[in-house]
Amino acid sequence: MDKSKAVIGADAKFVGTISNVKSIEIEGVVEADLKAEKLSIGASGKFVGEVNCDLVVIGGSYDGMMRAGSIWATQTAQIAGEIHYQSLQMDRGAALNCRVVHNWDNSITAADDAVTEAPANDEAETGGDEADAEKPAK
Amino acid sequence: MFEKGKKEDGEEAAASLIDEDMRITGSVTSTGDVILAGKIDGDINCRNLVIESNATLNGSLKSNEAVIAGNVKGDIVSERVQILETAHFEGELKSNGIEIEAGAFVAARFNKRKKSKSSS
Repeated sequence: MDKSKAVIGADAKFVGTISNVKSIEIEGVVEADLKAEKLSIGASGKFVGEVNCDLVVIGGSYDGMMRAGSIWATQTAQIAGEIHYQSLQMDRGAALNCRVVHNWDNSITAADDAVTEAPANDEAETGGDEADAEKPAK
Repeated sequence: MFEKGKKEDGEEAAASLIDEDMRITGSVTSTGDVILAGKIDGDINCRNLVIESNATLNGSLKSNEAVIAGNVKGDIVSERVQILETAHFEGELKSNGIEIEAGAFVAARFNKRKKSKSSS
C-alpha cells in the first residue's frame, strides 16, 4: 500500500488531533482537528471537527468548521457546520446544511496588491474573486 | 468478559494506515487492522496491529495480534505479540504468545494473559 497516504478504515474510530499529514482518506469515524493538504471523506466516512485543508472531497458526512481552498461535495455528501472556501463544487444530491462562506480575504488582498502595487498587472486581476469563484474544483 | 476473547470474523475489515509523517494525539479504535508508520500519542485498540520500524507509539495497545518493529512506550495487551529486531519496547506486556527476535530492545514486564475460557 502506498505509504504517502493515510487511511482511516471503515471500521475504525478515531478521536484526537491529526497533524503533519499530506493526504488522508477517511472511511471511518473521526472526531478530530485536522490540518492537511488533501482530505477525502469517503461515502461511509464521518468527520466531526475543524479542518484546514487545500483540497477537500466530501462523500460522507461532515460537521464542523472547515477552511479549504477547493471543496468538492459529491452526491452522497452531507455537510453541517460552516465551510469557508475559495472554490466549491457540488454534485447533484449533495446535502449542505451549513453556513457557506466564500473566503474573500485572499482574493481581496490579491486585488489590493494589484491596484496599489502593480495596477497594470493583468495576471493579478484574473486571479481575482470572480475567476476564483468559477474555477471548477479538482 | 474479555472483549478480545471472541474473535471478530469480519473479513470486510479495511486496514487503517497511519502514514510516516502523520502525528496523532488521541485514541484509535478499530475492529479491523491498523498499520502504524507514523507517531501516535495515545491508545490503540484494534484487531491486528503492525508498528513499522520508524513508527512510534506512546500509549497503551490492545489488540489480538501485534507485530512490533518500531518504538513502543506503554502497555501492550495482546493475544499474540511479535517483537522484531528493530523494535524498541518499554513497558508492560500481557500476552499468551510472545516472540522476540534477537537484537530487539525490550525493557518490559511480562505477564501471561488470562485466557477467558480456561479462567486461570
